[in-house]
Amino acid sequence: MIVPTVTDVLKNIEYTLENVVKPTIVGTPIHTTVQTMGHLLRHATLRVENEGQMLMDDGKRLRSLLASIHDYLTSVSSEPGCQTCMDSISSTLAQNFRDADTYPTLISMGQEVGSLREALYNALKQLQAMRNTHREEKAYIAIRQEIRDYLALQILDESALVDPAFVGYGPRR
Amino acid sequence: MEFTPAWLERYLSHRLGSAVIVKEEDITRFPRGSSRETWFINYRSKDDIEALKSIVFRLDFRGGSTDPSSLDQEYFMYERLGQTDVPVAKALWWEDDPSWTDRPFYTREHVEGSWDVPHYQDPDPAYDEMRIAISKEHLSKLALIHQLDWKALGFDKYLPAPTSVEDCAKVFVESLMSMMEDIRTSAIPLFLEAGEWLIDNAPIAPRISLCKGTNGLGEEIFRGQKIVAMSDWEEASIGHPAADFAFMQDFVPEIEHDGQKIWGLEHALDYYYSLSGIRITPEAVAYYHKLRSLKTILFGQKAGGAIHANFDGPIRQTWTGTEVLHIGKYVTASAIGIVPPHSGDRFSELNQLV
Repeated sequence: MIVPTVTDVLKNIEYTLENVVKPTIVGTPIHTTVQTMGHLLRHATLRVENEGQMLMDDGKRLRSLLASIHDYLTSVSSEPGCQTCMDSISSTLAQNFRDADTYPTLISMGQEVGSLREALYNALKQLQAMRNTHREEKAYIAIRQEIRDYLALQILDESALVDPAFVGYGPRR
Repeated sequence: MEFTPAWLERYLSHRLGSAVIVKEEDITRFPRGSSRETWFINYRSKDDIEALKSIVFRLDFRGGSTDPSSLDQEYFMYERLGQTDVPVAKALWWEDDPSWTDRPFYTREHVEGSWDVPHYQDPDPAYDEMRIAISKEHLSKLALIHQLDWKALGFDKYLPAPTSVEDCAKVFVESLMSMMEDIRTSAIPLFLEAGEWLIDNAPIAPRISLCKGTNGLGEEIFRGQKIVAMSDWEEASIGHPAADFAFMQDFVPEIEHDGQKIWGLEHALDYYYSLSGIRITPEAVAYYHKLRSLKTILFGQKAGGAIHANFDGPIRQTWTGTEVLHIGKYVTASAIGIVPPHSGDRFSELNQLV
């Protein structure tokens, strides 16, 4: 192990801010700024510790979901916009986001997941445009539910990066 | 452009047509603002040194505002409201001359008073009567706003206006969708999902009203128990007046005495009806709470994008782009039934001040 780790450093900075700097400051403007800095240091620490795995899991879910959407759109491919959407999903799924020898940094993984979410965003727009024609169909209902299920997992994952950093640590401003 | 004494003296002397004096201690930046910069400037005229005057400068953060609506829309709101009985600080002038500033700003009067109502948040029942009085005062001002002839005043020059009471929510949601497409730096599919749900479940409005948007504790200026200026108009809209009840901060307290509720949302809606003749239902207020969370996503996305573009922005924007954005997403997701709702505890610290 290489010590201090990056999270050791972040935690030490937060501790120092809270216990050495904050007790000495005078005045609301700087006090509120330092308060926010503490919250965000904790948030950054959680992201360093956990965001990588979260993005990896999210990426897998998105790829599976986009493949499901592609399969559904194949069954209704004569609808306006479907083929373009399918092509966009295919090209996103085929994209190579980094070389095999390149370490997957949080930034690069974020870019990958960002691209996958963009594909989902555009696919959802396409599905919403088809709603009037297909809303009663089982396959359409199922794919829309699959998207909602994904959204639920994503937001619950994100809570683990946010809530422990802020809740119980006092005023936000 | 920096708000230094030297710059302010040159600029205000130019604008006011007579020499002024500004000292370092006369310059105060409002520390808690999350959407834009607000500066309070005191100055004295060289012809009348004894008379201390104040003026407010308002501008976007260097990296961009958290607010998706434009600064000139905000200026327009103050200018137009100045023509009504709604108490607002008087808009003074708009400035975008590049010889003076690299960022447009506008100025307005500084109205003496405070957003802070002493003891309002003290849970001691001795202050319940005061809380109800404050609530009524605020409701009376909302009633005034909601009855304005927004069409004659030209508010639809900037604000999207529904053509029917059935369309109020749809227009609101579609305007948020449009703003999101303009400002987004990443894809939030939940926004699309929630927008669809909100349009599907939109309530019919009792009338089409000018709405303030952000309102309540921290947004209005008081002297004693009277509102002397209503501030923060950047989220104004035209539509269902229930939106203002949903967007309100703290001014409809739930108060019980001896097990009987003596004030709360239903009392407030009844009181508001007695003033305005406008009937708003609790269900409509609940709906607009959900719509508000969608708007929070928009603000959070804008703020996060601003910090991504300029890391030297105010740290408050980073908070808005992280926790606030997440809360907007979570509350929106629970509002449309995707995830379970948060416990009430999740929100108790959010509006607390150091």
